Amino acid sequence: MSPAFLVIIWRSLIVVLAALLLEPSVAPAIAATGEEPDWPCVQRLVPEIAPAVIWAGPPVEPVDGAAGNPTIDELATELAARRVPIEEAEAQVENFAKSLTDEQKDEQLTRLFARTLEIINGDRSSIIQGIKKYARGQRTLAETITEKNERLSELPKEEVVARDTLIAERDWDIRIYDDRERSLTYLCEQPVLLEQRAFALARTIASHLE
Amino acid sequence: MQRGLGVLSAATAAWLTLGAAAEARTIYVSNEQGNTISIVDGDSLELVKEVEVGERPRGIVLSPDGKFLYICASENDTVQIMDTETLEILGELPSGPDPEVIVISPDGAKIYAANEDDNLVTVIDVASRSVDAEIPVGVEPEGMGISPDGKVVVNTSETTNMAHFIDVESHEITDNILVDQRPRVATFTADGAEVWVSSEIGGTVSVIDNGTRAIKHKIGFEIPGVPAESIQPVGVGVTSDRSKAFVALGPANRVAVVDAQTYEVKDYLLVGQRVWQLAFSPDEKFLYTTNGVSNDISVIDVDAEKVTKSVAVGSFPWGVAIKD
Repeated sequence: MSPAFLVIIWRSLIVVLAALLLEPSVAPAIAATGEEPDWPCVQRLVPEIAPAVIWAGPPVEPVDGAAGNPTIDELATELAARRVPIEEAEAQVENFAKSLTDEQKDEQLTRLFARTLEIINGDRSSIIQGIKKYARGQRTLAETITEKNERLSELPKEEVVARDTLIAERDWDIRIYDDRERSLTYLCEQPVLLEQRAFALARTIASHLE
Repeated sequence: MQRGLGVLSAATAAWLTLGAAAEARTIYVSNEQGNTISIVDGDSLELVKEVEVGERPRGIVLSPDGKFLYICASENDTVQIMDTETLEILGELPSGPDPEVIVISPDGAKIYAANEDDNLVTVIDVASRSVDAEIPVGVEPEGMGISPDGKVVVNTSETTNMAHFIDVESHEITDNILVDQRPRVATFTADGAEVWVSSEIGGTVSVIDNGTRAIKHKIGFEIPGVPAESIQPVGVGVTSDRSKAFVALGPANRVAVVDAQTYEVKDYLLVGQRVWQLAFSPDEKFLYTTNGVSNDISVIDVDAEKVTKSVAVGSFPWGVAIKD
């Protein structure tokens, strides 16, 4: 075999090896349960928090959005807001409970819980949709990177400009992919943080029931 | 002469009782993410201290004399020995890889560890800090139970969905009982008559007759308004008199109260989020549960069957042990 030929084989091998080595970092994270292809998180996908899961008080009536009680709606919005520290939220619930008569308490507090949960579930739903969209985006990007690697392995070595351009594009894609992968942990924590908040609020509200 | 002795022993008994009452109760909680053990004062129910331990601490168990707390530091592939007086780590026991749950023989001489990744149960000699034997079991062994007489160890394998009964002398598996999906915990009743095995995904608790080694009853759980897949039975505790049992139901955030004679579910108690393991106080007046997602433990009054308090602990509490 001529040395030139060997060099061609060697360079081709390097390209193929590089493509193979890059595969693991390019493969999308597999969902722990495997039940939802678009769910990239280790945490199990819980689409919605059912009231009974966090509440053992009086049964929750279906809440018609903000209709019925602007006071409750305003308070619920405040309680649900992640920027409000939980201690402050607890104080606000206590104030509200104190403003009620004994007869009103159970009904009004249950409504407050229901509306607060509704808002939190809405927020969670948006975040979950965002995460799924993010996962789809990553999958598409991974496919693009794989496709570029394949094209690269097919490009003759003489096509220097074309190869360099393609390598630059692919490397940029990989960088974006990796950056986004690093955000995954933080993103996946958000629905759980909201579950925690919902539970803490439910517990506080329930503590004031008759 | 006899009356004199009677008075003397009564006085001694009174003195001993006073001595016992003066001893504080301590609750130990392993925090899976925090890599700490929370020390909670059992009388005031206040968090007293957080002690840093190994990585991913899960199963914890006290020595029979209460002098040591053995901690599964899963990520470190070891069982740590903590002095309950000084709260210092004195050393380690060779546990095999990734120990999650351990049980200790009634005499404190042997510890049995489930090695999840290697499908083994490791038998550890505590005094010599060495491995006696490795027993191959089913896939993903996790739950460990030991009979009150120390003669039988039960290990559950999560993927094979089995409860393996192991003879402690021969280290041989004598029975393999098929249970429902993903068995997590195996608990013997105090009289050794039954073994209760919880199945996390199956959503049931199988009560196995220790004599016939057959399932005598399967307990199912249903909570209005709670999706069935959220009901995941994990920790199980049965009172010594076998009158009641308590089952932690994971993301259902509740503990089921079960009549341990009729196997009927009497009540569901809302505790913290993702309730996982539970343990009785030595006098069985209280039950303590670990709530992984709300980062606290709940205290249940066993007689009243009511939750009395929640105490914030470390990050992702997993195991709990109580010492008087």
